[in-house]
Amino acid sequence: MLVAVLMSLPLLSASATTITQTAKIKIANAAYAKTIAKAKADFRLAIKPSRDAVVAVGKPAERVRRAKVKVALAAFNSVVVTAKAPSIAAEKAYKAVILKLVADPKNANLKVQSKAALLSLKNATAALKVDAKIKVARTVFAKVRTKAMAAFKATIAKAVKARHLVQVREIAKFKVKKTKAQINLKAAIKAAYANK
Amino acid sequence: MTSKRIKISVLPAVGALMLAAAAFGSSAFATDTATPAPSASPTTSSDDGDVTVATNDEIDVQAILGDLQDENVDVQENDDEVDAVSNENASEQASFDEDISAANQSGNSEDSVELAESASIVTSLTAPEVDAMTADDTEAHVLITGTSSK
Repeated sequence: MLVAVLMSLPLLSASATTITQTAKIKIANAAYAKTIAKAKADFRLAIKPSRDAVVAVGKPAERVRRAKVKVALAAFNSVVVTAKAPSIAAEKAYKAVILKLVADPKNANLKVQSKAALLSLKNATAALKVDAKIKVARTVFAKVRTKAMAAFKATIAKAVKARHLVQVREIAKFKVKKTKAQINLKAAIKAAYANK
Repeated sequence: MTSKRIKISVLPAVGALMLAAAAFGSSAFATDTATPAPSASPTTSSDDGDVTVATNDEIDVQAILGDLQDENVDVQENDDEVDAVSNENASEQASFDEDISAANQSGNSEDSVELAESASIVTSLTAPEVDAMTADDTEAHVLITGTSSK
């Protein structure tokens, strides 16, 4: 019995060492987490005003941009819809014939009609590919869209730049705090292991 | 003689129990070893006391900026104009799909190739504009919310 107790003593001693190390490492980790949480909170607080400033300028600027694009798109769409009308009409004509043919598959006359309708559709859609009016409308729309985007960017450029500078500065601060916290954590953990 | 034999056979059993108890105690503590810091997530190597702390500053910063983006909700306007064009194209495509199906049912499956080509032309007319508008909307959103910080 005595032999068995004596045999187990080193194990109990090892457990005691583990407890001490565990406690120290937990404390070090908790301190690290607390420091990082504080650094994050500081970072958020520091960059928030400049971010809010961009949103304050950006939202109305974005509404203006989208309104311009919407008007231009309506004009473009109008040209496209007009140009597409013959194709859409040809497609409807084909549909009418082919549905009749589904009901009466052996009707040779309907088959001929369906092939003629398909040819009309093919020609109408082929014409769309080279439609000059669509080409012009496309160019006009692209110009308006590009100009609206440029105006939007110009409106918010100053605020965006300010936000960027603040963020760069605050990220650097955050990294310094984090590096310091990591050094402290390493030192604390090394000390815990050294005191075996 | 009998009692001596019993003692001899009991001793290893008691020892084994003690060892098992010690081992249990040890493993119980072992499961309670250093919990990684929740947000910072440092990792430690305990094998030889050589400590490594693995973290990534960029990920942390982007995560924070991501959180802030969530706070700035409702920055992006609705894509009504883009959706309207897309819906129109989808409707036209559906009509062509019906034609193809009918052509197949009526024994004119050879029509489907030309029908598909026509559908492609009709429905892709505004595709470049939709793509360009979507790209602009995304860029504007990123500029406003400031998700890309270097």
